[in-house]
Amino acid sequence: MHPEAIAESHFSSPEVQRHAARLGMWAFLATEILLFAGLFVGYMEYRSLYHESFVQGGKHLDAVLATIETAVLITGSFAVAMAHHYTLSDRSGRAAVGLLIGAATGIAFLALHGVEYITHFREGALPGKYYTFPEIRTAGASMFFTVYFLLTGLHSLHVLAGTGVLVWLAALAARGTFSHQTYSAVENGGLYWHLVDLIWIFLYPLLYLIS
Amino acid sequence: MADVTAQGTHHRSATRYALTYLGLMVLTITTFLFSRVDLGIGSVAIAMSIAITKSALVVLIFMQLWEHRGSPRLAFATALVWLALLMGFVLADVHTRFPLTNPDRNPIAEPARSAPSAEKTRAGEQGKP
Repeated sequence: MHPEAIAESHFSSPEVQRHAARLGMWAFLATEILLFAGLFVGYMEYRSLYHESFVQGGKHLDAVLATIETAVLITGSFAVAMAHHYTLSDRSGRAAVGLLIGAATGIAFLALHGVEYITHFREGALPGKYYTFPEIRTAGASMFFTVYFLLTGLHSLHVLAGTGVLVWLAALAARGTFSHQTYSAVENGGLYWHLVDLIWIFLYPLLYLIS
Repeated sequence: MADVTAQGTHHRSATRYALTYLGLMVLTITTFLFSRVDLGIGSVAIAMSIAITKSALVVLIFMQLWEHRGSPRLAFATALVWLALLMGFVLADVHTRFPLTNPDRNPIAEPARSAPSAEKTRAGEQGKP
């Protein structure tokens, strides 16, 4: 039997409870957007102050690797969207597989990004006073890498958190916790994962493509 | 309302998700290929237009804002308004500053620490368009 929805006493019905959960999640996502907004604004400001360094820095980053990372994240988003679809169809097994594929893409993304970071550490393309990269010596060159590490670092932390959430949801889905009536956790976990994808959709052209 | 949507149309959503996935992949390859060609300011316009299109697909289809009307849309739209205000005013500040307040145009500012010497830094700046 599929789990039935039982509303908490302060909600008039399970449907109202699901609506409240969804709105709460969107309010949280709005704060996440504003958290990243600060860094995006920092990027804009430093890009206009140190234009040449940002052009050189962008050219130096590995755009092919970033394109593969983008494809990996989009695949993860698709898998999680399908998991939501299967949860609504009461096919928990497939939902669990979708969520696990999503988590796997998160790990793959982090591994690929780790490769990028290792390269930058080796060549000394690091923020602030640790910047020793000989190829880009224009004014503010280290600021490009400060912004790069802050933006991608905060994003990678979100990927890590999202991966954990997806593994947890997959375990619950495999045990048959979710159904077409009790799907809020899958929906909200999925929303978080899609937001991580959304942030990357803007990081990818800003850092890697427009140089 | 949402539950009617959930039970009434979710069989259609698998196809919709697959098409969205395909669209996102095609747009990703397109934006990468465009970035290999130098179109000046046009390159930035193309890259950002594609990013906005991709994000609209993710928000409307994967995040289901197309179906979930009402308060979730309001929360998201509000975030976009704050974002626009923040970006708009910071951009306005940076682009209307008295030139000497900007570090790279200030002749008495300290040279960047990363630069091997002040002379080289200046040479680099002069080559700037």
